[in-house]
Amino acid sequence: MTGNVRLTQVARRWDAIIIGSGAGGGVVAWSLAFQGMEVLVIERGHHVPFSPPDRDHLRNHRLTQYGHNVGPSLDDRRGMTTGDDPTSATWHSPLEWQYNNNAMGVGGGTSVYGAQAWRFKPEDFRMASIYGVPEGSSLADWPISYADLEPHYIEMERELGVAGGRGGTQTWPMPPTAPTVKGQRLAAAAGRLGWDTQAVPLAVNSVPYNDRPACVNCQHCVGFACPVDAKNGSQNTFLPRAMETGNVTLITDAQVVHIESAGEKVTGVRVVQRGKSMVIPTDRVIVAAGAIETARLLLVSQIGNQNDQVGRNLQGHYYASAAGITPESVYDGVGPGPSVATTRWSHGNDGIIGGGMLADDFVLLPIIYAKRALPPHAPTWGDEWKNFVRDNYRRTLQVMGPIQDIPSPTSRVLVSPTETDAVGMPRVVLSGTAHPESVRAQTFLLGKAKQWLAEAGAEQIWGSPSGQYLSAGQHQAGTCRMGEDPRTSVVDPSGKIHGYANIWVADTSVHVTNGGFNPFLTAMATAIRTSSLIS
Amino acid sequence: MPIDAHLVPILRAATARIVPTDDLPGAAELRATEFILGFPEYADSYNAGLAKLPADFDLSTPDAQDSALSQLSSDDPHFFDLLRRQTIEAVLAQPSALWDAMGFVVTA
Ligand SMILES: Cc1cc2nc3c(=O)[nH]c(=O)nc-3n(C[C@H](O)[C@H](O)[C@H](O)COP(=O)(O)OP(=O)(O)OC[C@H]3O[C@@H](n4cnc5c(N)ncnc54)[C@H](O)[C@@H]3O)c2cc1C
Ligand code: SF4
Repeated sequence: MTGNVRLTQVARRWDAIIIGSGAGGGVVAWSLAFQGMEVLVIERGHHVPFSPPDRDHLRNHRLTQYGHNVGPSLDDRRGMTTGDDPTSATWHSPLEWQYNNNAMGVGGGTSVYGAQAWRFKPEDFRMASIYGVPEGSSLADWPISYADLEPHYIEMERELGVAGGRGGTQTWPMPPTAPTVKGQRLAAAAGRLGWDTQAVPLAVNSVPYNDRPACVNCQHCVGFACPVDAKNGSQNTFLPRAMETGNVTLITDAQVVHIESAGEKVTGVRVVQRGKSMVIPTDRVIVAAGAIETARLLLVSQIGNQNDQVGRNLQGHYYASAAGITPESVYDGVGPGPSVATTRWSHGNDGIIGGGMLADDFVLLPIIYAKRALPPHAPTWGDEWKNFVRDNYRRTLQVMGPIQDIPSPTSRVLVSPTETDAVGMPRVVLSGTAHPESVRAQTFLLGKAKQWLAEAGAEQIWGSPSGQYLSAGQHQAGTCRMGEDPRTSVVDPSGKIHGYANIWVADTSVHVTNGGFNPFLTAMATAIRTSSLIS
Repeated sequence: MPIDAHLVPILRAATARIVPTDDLPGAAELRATEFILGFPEYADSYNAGLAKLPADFDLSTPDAQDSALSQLSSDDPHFFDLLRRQTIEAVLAQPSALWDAMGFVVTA
C-alpha cells in the first residue's frame, strides 16, 4: 500500500467516501469494493512500519510515557470537563489518560492492538430488558440481536483470521496460540473452582493463514506492530484486499474536517492534507473515525444531532485487575500472553448489572511491571526495590477483564466553541464520569479475579477498584448509538443516520452497550452488516 | 535551560542510590543521568529539587545519601517521584543484565 497519494489525485466524484481506516473503516472498504463501488478511504494517520520492529518501551501504545508509535501528534489536545460547558475544560495531550486516545494510523487501533477477538454474548445486546434501567443511566437494548450478528461474527473471524480452537459452542478458524505456564496454572485452578475456561480468541496467526506466517511468540504484542506480520488488523487484511480490487484508493495523512450536506443528503467532505484543503464530492459517506472523532465530525458538521444525541453515552471499559505472587516462577515469556479466560461471570451475578470476562495478561515488559504490577507494599527504590523486582517478576500472576460499562447520557463528546486544532477544526472536549453501577460491577469482578488467583496458588494478592472517572480510552464506544427511535439514538438499525439518505456510521460509536468484552470484533461484525445494507 | 552543571554530580550520586549497583548493573552503568539530561523540559524541576539535597551529597557515605533521599521524599514527594520514576525508566526500559536476571528475554 502506498502512502503518498495527494489530494489532487483523488479530486473526483466517488461512489463512497469512508472516513477512517480502523476496525470499522477497513471492513466497509472491503465490502463496498466487492459490491463494485469506487471508494476513497481517508485516513488522518500514516502507515505503521513493521520493520524494523519498533521496540521503544517508553513510547508505544501500551506505555505512552514520552510518546507513542502511532499518532495523533503530541501537540494535539483534548479538553476534559464535568458539566455541559466546554469552555471550562482543562486541556490534555495524547499521552495523558484524559485525552482518551485509541490509535491514529492506517488500521487505526487494529495496527497495534492486543487483538483479543471476542464476540459479545446474547445477553449483552439486551441489557435493559434483563436488568432494567438504573437511575441516571441510559442503559438500553440494541435494536439488533446476537442472532442478527452471529453470521457476521463468523465471517469476520474467518476473513480476519482468529485463533481460538474450540470453546463453549464456538469453533474458530485457527487453533489457539501457544499455551503458557500461567495459562495452564490458571486453567487448572478454574477447573478446581468449577469455572469453565477457554483459550482467549486472538486475531493472531497461530498457524500460517491468508498467506502470512505464524506468530513467533514474541514479547511485544500489545501496543506494537508485529515483527512478522502475524497479527491481523485492517492494515494487513481488509484494506489491502479492498485495494487489490482496483476499486479502492487510500489517502493517508489527510484529515476530514467537515462533512458537506444539503437537506437530508450529504454531498462531499472537506479534507486537509499538508496544508491544502479541498472538498471531494461523493454519493455516500461512511463515518468510521472512532467513537470520539466520529462524534466530533458530526457535531462540527451539524449532522444527525437534531435530538441532541450525538456524542452522548460515551463509554469504554472499567477493568477488574488483580495480581498476586506465586511461590515459584510462572513466567515463560511466550507471547502474545493471554491464553485462558472465563466468561463464567459475564452475567447472572446477584445484585450486579452485567459483569465481565476475566483472562490472563500479555507478556509484561519490565518497565510496565515496575510501574503497574508491583504490590502496594513493595519497596520503591534502593537495593530492596532492585531485589524485589528481580525476585518477583517471574512470580507475578495477573488476571484482568473488562466489565460492562453502564452508559450515562452525561458522559459525552462536546466540541470547543473557541479552541481549534492544527488544521482549524474545533477541538474535542470530553465530559462526564462513570456510572456507580460500573464501579459496583468492577468491585464484584475484582473479587472473582482474586479468588481465581488464590486458587492458582498466589500468596499475596492485591488490586482495588478505581475511583469514578470518565471511561473511554482504547475501548471508546457508544457516541452515535443505534436505535429505532431518533429521540434516543443517532443511527437506525442499519447504521444509517436518522433523517439522512446517504450517510452511515460504522465503528464502535454505534454500540448501544459495549459488552463485557474487548470491542473490536463487534465493531467489525456490525460494520460488515451495515455495509451489506448500504445501497 | 539544562540542569546546572554543578548539580550533575549530585544527580549522578542520587540515581546511583535509587538503583544501586550490585552484582547487576545499576543507574550508573545504565546511564540514568544521561537519560535524565535528555529531558530539558524537566530541567527546572531538577534544578529546584536537587538543590534541596545537601551540597556535599555526592561526597557523602551511601547511608547518609539514603537518609538525605528519604528526607527529600517526604519534603518534596513530587520531585522525588520524578527522580525515582525517571531513574527506574532509564534502568528498566533498555536491554541489560537486569532484564536477564529478571528472566525477560527478547526472542524475536
Ligand atoms: C494498544 C491497544 C490495544 C487494544 N487491544 C484490543 C484488544 O485486544 N481487543 C479489542 O477488541 N480491542 C482492542 N483495542 C481497541 C480497538 O483497537 C478498537 O476498539 C478499534 O480499533 C475501534 O475501531 P473503530 O473503527 O471504532 O476506530 P479506530 O480503529 O480507532 O479507527 C478510526 C480511524 O479513523 C481515523 N480518523 C479519525 N478522525 C479522522 C478524520 N477526521 N479524518 C480522517 N481519519 C480520521 C483515525 O486515525 C483511525 O485510524 C486496543 C487498542 C489499542 C490502542
Ligand atoms: S506475539 Fe506473535 S502475533 Fe503478537 S506481535 Fe509477537 S509474533 Fe506477532
